[in-house]
Amino acid sequence: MRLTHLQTELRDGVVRRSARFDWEERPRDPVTLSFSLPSSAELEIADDGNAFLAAGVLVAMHHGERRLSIDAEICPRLAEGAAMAVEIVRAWHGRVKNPVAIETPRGFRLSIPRNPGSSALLFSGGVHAFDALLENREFFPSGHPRRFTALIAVEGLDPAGAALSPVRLARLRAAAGSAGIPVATISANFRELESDLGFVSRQFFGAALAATAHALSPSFDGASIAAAWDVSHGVRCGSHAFVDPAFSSGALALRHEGLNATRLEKVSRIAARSWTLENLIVCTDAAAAEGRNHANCGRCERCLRTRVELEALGVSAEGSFPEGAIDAGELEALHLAFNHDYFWEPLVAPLEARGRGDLAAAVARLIAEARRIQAWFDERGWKGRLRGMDRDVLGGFLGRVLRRSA
Amino acid sequence: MKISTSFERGAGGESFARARVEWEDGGTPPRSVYFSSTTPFGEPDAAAEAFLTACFVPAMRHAERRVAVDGPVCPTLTEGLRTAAAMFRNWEPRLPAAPAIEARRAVSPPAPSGRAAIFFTGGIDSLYLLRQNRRTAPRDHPAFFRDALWVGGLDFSGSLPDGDAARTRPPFDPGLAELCAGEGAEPIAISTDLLGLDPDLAALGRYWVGSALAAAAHLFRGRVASASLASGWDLRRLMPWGTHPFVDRHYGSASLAVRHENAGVSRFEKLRFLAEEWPEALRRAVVCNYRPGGRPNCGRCYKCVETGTALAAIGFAGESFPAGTPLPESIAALSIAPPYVDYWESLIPLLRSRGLSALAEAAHASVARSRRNESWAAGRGWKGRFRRWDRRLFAGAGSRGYAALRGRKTLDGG
Repeated sequence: MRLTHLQTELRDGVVRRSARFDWEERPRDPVTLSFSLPSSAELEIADDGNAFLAAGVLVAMHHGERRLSIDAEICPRLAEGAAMAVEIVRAWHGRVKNPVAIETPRGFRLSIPRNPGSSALLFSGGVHAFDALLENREFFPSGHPRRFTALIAVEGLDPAGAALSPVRLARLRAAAGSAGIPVATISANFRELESDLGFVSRQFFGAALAATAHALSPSFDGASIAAAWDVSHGVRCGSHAFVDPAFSSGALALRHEGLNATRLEKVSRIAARSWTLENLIVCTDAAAAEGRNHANCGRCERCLRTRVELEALGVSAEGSFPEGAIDAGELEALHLAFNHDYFWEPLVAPLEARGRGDLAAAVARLIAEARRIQAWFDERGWKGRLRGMDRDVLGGFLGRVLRRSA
Repeated sequence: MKISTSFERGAGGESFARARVEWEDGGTPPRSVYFSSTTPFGEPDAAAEAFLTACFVPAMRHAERRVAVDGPVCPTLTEGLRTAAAMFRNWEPRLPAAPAIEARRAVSPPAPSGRAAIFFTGGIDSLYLLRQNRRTAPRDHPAFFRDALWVGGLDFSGSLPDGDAARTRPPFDPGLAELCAGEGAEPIAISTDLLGLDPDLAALGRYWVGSALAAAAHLFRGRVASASLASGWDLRRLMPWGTHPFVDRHYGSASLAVRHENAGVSRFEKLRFLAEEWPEALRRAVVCNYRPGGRPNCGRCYKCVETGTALAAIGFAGESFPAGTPLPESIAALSIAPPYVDYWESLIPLLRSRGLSALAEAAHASVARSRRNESWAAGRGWKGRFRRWDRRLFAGAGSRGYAALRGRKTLDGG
């Protein structure tokens, strides 16, 4: 992969920093990745290549590129960290991909913080981001270098790669206003660079957020990404405590925050404040939400989960979602993704305690189904053992026959 | 656990930071521990952060329910220690829960001087890190190492198993101190008796060597803004350990960034780099703590044999190893840990190409033995599969029966 034509331009009130990505190992069309920021924002766009290195390295690995050559000075600390990130992802997802050599004809230059003692939070308006904001306000007093001085909202990373809807933008601004810090919206066409949604969510998400933070690195020396999984259940996903900080440079420290609390604890803290609850954005189906003229669709897994969490805490979801109280029937068509039973399990007991046995039973059914599939996959239970023996002794012959006959 | 700290200046100009540590839940008697240095420590307030960092993991290991310290602590450090503890429990769920931290909250502004420091041992990892720093950081850059911290008292001491009257290394090997000074990094020797707090050396390595070193750096608040630990495990061979790229950074505060560097570089790459770029330093490398006859490196322990073999493989005539190139018997007798088998395997063709076939064969024998063990343990091969299915279907009865017939004990004590 070659990254060339790095440039910054100001047009129609928007500052745009871009680079052209050319593929060397695959017949793919070149892509121009750009970060766009309104010139009115009180933030500055970096003129180095660090953002594009962070954005490109895992994508290069994913597509079998053997090198990433970038026509700009880059920070050696980031280059080392990016190589580490590749190794971590390879170790997690199998060594089917090769390492990526990072090269630059312009040389390596250790970058220096331009605005030391200033931190930002990459802010989606979701449960984890809101909790990171609340915790930061509580633990880091004014003047502390870790106290957030700005929120950064990133456009272009959701499944559709779409811009933020007016309803969502309004919520983000309202939240920032209540927290007393500015929010800046930066757009990046990540989904043009990478259309594989599975790869984006499982491997690339943190790198993309880190790239966005690097694009704004003259304004901060620290940027935080909110953790979706607590440390006791560190699922290997695209934004992770091990991967995100690897994308730090000499000028910018990337942090993965909020590892010490479960999701339900976070929802509970958010539910205690009206301004956070009213401005929550958890939905993964932006189009459906926009269709309902709301920030959340109320029906995707994330929306349903949050509604059930609020129910379990005895808090009304009205205002946060198009519908208020949740009905057990709404969970009927739901199937949990790999590992997500972890989020649902703590909800059963409090739902029962609140007299919502119907909902508790529906949740228990979802968990049981997810675990049955997981046990088979992990070769536990009689079906799982049979699968393991078939693979070990017959090389998977039985499985193939069964699949064919089905 | 209650920690009461104090700062003193000795008659000879030495700085002392002391802490009286009272265990609250285990019945262990109170103990005083110290750090000292001839280089002045920074602000006295820093002792609270230093001793909290030093004592937190031992307190957790010994199931203390809280750690109360008498000075202000940066919230960054408090949060980082909680995260580090959670990572340890993720690795080892049987570890006790993290103790609660009771301390006044401090706002620690960034250190004004912004010096970067390296924890320097003279081993391959820290030599490589120092040299790389000189290649990548210009002299006026905040990341340019200006201080080399040598922490004495956290290493292994005593004699070699064969009874050789070996000594541990001196407070700061004069040759290495000279090397650092020549590179523009001021040698700073620090002594501590922190090991007295939890004298289990294996536990120090496995859980808290990183936090103990970071504690020493906290004492130089106002002078040192970042302290870098050289990675001893490269990323492909990572395992839970007391100094770790994912954990060490959590021992920092707003005043002090703790970095774990070069985890992406293998030991062999480091050796080859040093042989080409800094041979004079490689000749002085100190890879083990024993000093038979007053010379560094025993030449017999795993690290000496491994380093000597790798140096032979790249054709580097080292001077540091009293025994010279390792003997084939020493290599053949090694027990190679699974993550390092492929590393040893990569040395075999290099040794052969240099006509060192006896060493290559010895390495081959060790690698083959380790591979066999690894395969068995992972349940591969017919023996491994038998073991796996025996455990699944018959709860290990087959293995126990076989062991009984052979008059051996199984690993699970059967």
